[in-house]
Amino acid sequence: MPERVFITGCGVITAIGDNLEENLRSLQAGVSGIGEIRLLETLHRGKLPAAEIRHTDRKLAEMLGLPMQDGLTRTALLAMIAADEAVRHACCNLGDRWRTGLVSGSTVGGMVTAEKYYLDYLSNDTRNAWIEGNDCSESTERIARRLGIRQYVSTINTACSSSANAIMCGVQLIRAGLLDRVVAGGTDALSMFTLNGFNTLMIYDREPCRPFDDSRNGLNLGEGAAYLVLEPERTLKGRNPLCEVTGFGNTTDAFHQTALSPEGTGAYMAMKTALERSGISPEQVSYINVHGTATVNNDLSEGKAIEHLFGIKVPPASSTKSNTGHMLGASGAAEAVYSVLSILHDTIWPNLRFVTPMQELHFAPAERYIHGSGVRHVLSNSFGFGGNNTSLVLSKC
Amino acid sequence: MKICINGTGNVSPQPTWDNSQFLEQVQEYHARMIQCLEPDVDPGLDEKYLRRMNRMLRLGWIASKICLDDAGAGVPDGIITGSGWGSVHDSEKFLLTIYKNKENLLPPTPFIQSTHNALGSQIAILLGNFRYNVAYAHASFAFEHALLDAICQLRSGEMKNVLLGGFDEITENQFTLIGRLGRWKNEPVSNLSLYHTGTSGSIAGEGFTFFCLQGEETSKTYAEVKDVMTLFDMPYVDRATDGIRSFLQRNGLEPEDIGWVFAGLNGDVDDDQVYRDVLRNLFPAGTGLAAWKHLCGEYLTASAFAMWAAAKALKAQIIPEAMKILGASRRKEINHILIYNHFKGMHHSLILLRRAG
Repeated sequence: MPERVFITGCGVITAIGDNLEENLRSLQAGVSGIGEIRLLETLHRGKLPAAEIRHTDRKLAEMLGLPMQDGLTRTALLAMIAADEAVRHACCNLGDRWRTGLVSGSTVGGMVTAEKYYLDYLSNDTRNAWIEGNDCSESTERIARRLGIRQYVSTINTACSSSANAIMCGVQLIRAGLLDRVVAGGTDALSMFTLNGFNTLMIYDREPCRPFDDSRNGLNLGEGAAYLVLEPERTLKGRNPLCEVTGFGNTTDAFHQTALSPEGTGAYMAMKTALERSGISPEQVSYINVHGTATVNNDLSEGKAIEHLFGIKVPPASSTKSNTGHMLGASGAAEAVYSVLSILHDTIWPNLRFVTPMQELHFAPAERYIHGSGVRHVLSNSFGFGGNNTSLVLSKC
Repeated sequence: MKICINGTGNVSPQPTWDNSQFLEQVQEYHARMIQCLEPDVDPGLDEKYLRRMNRMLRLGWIASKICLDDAGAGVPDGIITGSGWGSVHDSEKFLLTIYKNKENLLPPTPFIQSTHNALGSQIAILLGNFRYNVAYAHASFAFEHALLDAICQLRSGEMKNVLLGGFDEITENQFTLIGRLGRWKNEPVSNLSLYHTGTSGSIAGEGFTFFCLQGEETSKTYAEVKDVMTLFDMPYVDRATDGIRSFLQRNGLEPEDIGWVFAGLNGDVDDDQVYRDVLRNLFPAGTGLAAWKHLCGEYLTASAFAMWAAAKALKAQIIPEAMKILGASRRKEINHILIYNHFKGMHHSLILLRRAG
């Protein structure tokens, strides 16, 4: 039996809330954070919707009690807000004798600033303070220094599955006996780079996205950060954990850099591995928080993989990207937090804007808020560019 | 369980792709930035496919293929990569096209290949590998974190055969950016006299280094990976020294047991002083000292080049003349090599290799 690893705290900031409580209330009320872009500087403003957090960088810094300074990226500001909350929520003292690590996923990283100043970087010295934070690790190091984490400080970039992999990695480091506690999650700010990237791939919907709907026509980007505190039994000391990470599966679709195979081979294997590892059968899954980007390709491929694994008895499934947009490197962790909330509040989050079932599938996503169905095991999917697929299983303690 | 290096593939600014050679001949450059030589190796792909791959994916694929062929161990159970800078060329290409085309009509390929996992997933696609695949991206720790993951996978029995890679590419623009932070020499220097320049800055470099790691020895085994450790935010020489000492102790070793240290000397007077201070504090006279960054340049996963060199040295029981700074006088056999790298005296990393058998 591998060592049990629990989630003892969560922190999250997204377009539907600055913290756990606000995100919970927005999920309960079916709030969508997708709307017109107001802060990001882009020519697509007014044309492409996104789930933007309505705080300026200065306001985010204020929320952290920090002065706004050169070199401090939006990615890092979001990260620190969510990581602070996770540690507070877990009521753990990071200064105690246990070895604490940090694993953070990010894919946009410093690009959120580089895209503004890149030509200065190349031609003059006016923006040098930002160059240091140009890669993915700047936000991770800011969290580590703020929280005093030194034992192991790591960043993962597997595109859209980055922070699901950060959680998996944290569980593995605890089980390997290398760390006693891990703050794991991810962060990504909205950027012109990614907005244009998905737009040019022609998978960006000009309307608010419609995951698992027959009329779906692409994703909307969002931004946010989410972190979870992972701990084994020995560090709990009387604190009640929120739930347990019982399974994970990391596989590669090995089909195409951006598209999933039509039959969803990698997605199927990720889910299957995660369930096997958690020791539960498909019938025991109470809820699937799907990757559900609302692109034609993802939802078909993921849907086929779900049917392959669950047969005709597909559990309630929904995409909270209909609330938050696709937060890329932060998605896996934010959706893990929503899965924790699903277990704690015995609730299945509705898939917003769903009207018409997909012709190719026999199941449809959960349309309504379902309370009291006895949520015990949640499967959370995160699939990324390059076919990097990760599924997590979170279980009620 | 022993963690064995059973195959290597190294594409670098030196002719390192040929595993039958070991730095007998090294390339001299007069430059501030050095780049990989194109390997004279059949990539095993058709021309059309090859043309579509960018340089990073092509060189990375070739390095991994050399490694897999060298090990002869078949399709790996997992592909774990580390890269500090990531997909530099395609990221800047996509960004510059956004500016030029005013966010309109952009070719998507550079965007698709702009994330750190582009190479790891490309290798998976080419191998038809459906299994574990993770890309570590933490600056100067990226390769060490990937190595630690690989060790965990083998020790836990999850995997028997891991393809591990450390890579970074340098471009003119990336060189300019990082140069603004004072990291590179002001004038071109000979890489072969890098450690005698007495000035600040290093030479920029790059490399694609892959390893096949397995839980047991084979006829191909180069060396055993004993341990790896990273020290985050440790800007004090004495604390870094203590960190290295406890790293050796947890492996049952004293500094006297280390025959050779491969130090990440990079020609920057301040950076090199940290190495010299830490090593002088720890190791007795007669410990061998070798360096490698004059061969490949400075980049965030340069420690992967050092692990390649250390693995080859332990197998051949030879330290290449081109790497020697101080010869070891205490003993002839090479049993342990400690690779010590640091980034600006802040973040330190250690990799310990032992002779196989």
